[in-house]
Amino acid sequence: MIEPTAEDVIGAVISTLERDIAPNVTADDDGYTASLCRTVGQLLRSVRSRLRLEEAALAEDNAELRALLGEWAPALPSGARQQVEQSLDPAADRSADRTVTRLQEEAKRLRQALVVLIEAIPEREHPARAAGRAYLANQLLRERPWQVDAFDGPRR
Amino acid sequence: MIRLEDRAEVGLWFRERLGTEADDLTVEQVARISQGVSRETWIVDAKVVRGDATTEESFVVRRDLPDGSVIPMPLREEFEVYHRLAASPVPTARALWFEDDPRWQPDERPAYVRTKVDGDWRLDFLSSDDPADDERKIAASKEHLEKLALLHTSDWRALGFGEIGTVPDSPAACATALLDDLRDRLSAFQFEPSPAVAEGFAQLRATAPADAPVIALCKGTNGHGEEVWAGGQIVAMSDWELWRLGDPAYDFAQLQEMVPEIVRDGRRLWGWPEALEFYRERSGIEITPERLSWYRGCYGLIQFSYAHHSAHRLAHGAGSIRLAWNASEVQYRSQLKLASAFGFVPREEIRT
Repeated sequence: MIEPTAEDVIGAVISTLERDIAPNVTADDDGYTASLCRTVGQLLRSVRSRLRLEEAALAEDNAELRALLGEWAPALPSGARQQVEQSLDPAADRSADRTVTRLQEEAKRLRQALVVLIEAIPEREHPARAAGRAYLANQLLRERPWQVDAFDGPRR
Repeated sequence: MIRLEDRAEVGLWFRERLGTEADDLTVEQVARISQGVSRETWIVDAKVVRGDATTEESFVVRRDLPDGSVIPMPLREEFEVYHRLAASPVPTARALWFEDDPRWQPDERPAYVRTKVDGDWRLDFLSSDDPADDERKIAASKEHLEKLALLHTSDWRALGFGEIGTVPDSPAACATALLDDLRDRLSAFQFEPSPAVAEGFAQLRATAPADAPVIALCKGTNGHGEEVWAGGQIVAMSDWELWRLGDPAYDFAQLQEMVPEIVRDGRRLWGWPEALEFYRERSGIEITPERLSWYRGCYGLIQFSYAHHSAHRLAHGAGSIRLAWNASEVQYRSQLKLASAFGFVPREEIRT
C-alpha cells in the first residue's frame, strides 16, 4: 500500500490539530497549551518537508564532502590525514542500501573528518579551510527547506 | 511529594517552607505561564497573613521540564545566582528556597521558589518610529545601561559568585576562559560532529581579545523581554541562565533591542556609540567595537550549545516538543549565526 503517503497523513494530523483541537484548547494556563499546539503544528510541517527532501539532500551533501576531503587529505599532517582517509574508505559503509539512515551515518562520519581537517589547519585562509566553509554554506542551503521554509507561523 | 496543580498541597508546602515568615497562607491560584522555553515557570498567588495584616502576594516556582532543561545549566545554579544577588544592589526577585526534599518536591521534580516582582516585560514604545517616543526610548536605554553598569561594577567576590562560576585567571584571559567553558560544556554531551562549530572555535581562538579591562559579573541574555519594568525603571533583572564572570562585552553582545538607533533630520540622537559612551561614564569600563564584535561571534556557539543540548536530551528519550523545536530550528539558526560570523553564509541567505 502506497497511499496515503506519510506526507498525506502528516497533513491530516496538522489540519486536525489546528482546525479541530487548538481552537478548543481552553486550559487556564496563560495560553501554554495553545502555545504547545502551535509548536507541534509547525514541527510537523518541518518533518513533512524533511521526509520528502532529506534523502536527496544527504546524497548530494555526502558526495560534495567526499570530494572535498579526497582533494585535501594529502595536504594534512599524517595523523589527521589518516583519520580523514579512513572516513573515505568504502569499507566504512556497513550497509549497501540507500536509506536515509545509512546516508545519515555516512554524513556524520564525513563531517567528523571535516572537523579533523579544520582543527589540523590553523590558517583561516588556507584553501582547504575555505573549501570547508563553501561546503558548509551549501549544507545549510540544503537543509533550509525543512529548517526555515517549512515554517509558516508562530512556533510558540 | 506534592502536586503543583493542587492548591491545597501547594499551600501546605509554602506554609512549611515559609515557617515564621508568615503566620498563615492560603493559595488562591496556581498557574503555569507560557513565557520562556528553557524551564517551567509557575505563578502561585496567595493570601499571606502576617500579624494583623493580610496581603495578596505572588511567587514564582521554577523547575526543569519533565525531560530536563534546554540550557545545560543546573537549576540549583540558577537558584544560587538569585540567592547571591539578594545581597547586591542589582534589582532582582528574591530567592526563597530550593526544594530538594523528596517529601515536598512538586511532582517529584526539584524546584525553587522566588518572589514575583510586578511589572511589564515588554515596552511597546521601543518599536515606535514616532519622534514623540524618542525621549522615552533614550531614557529606557539609559536605565538599562545604568543597571548593566551597576551589575558590572558589583563586588562579585564578596557576593560569592567565585564559588559557583569559572573565574578567569586575569581580565586578559576572559575570552579564552569563555571558549574553554563552551568547549568543556559541549564535550559533556555533543554527540554529532559539527564542522560549523569547529570553524567557529578555530576562528575565535585565533582572534581572542586579551584587552578586557576587568573581570565582571555578567548576566548573559539581557535587554527587552528579559527584565521587569515599572514606572520607567527596571525593578527586576531576570533570566540569568547564561551568567558568567568575564568581560562586560559579553553582555553587550547579548543585549536585546535596548540600544535604538535614532536619527532625526540627519542628527544622531542615540545609538551604539552614544550608549557605550554613556555606559563608560557610569561604569568606568570601555567596551571596544573589536571586543563587542568578537563576543557577538561567540553567540552562535552559545546558542548551538543549548540547542544541541536539547537534541542530546531527545536522543536520550526526552519527549518535550519544546526540546524538539530547540533541537531543530533553533539549532539550525545557531549555525546560521556561525555562518554569518565566520564566513559561510549560504547564497540564499545573502539574497534574502
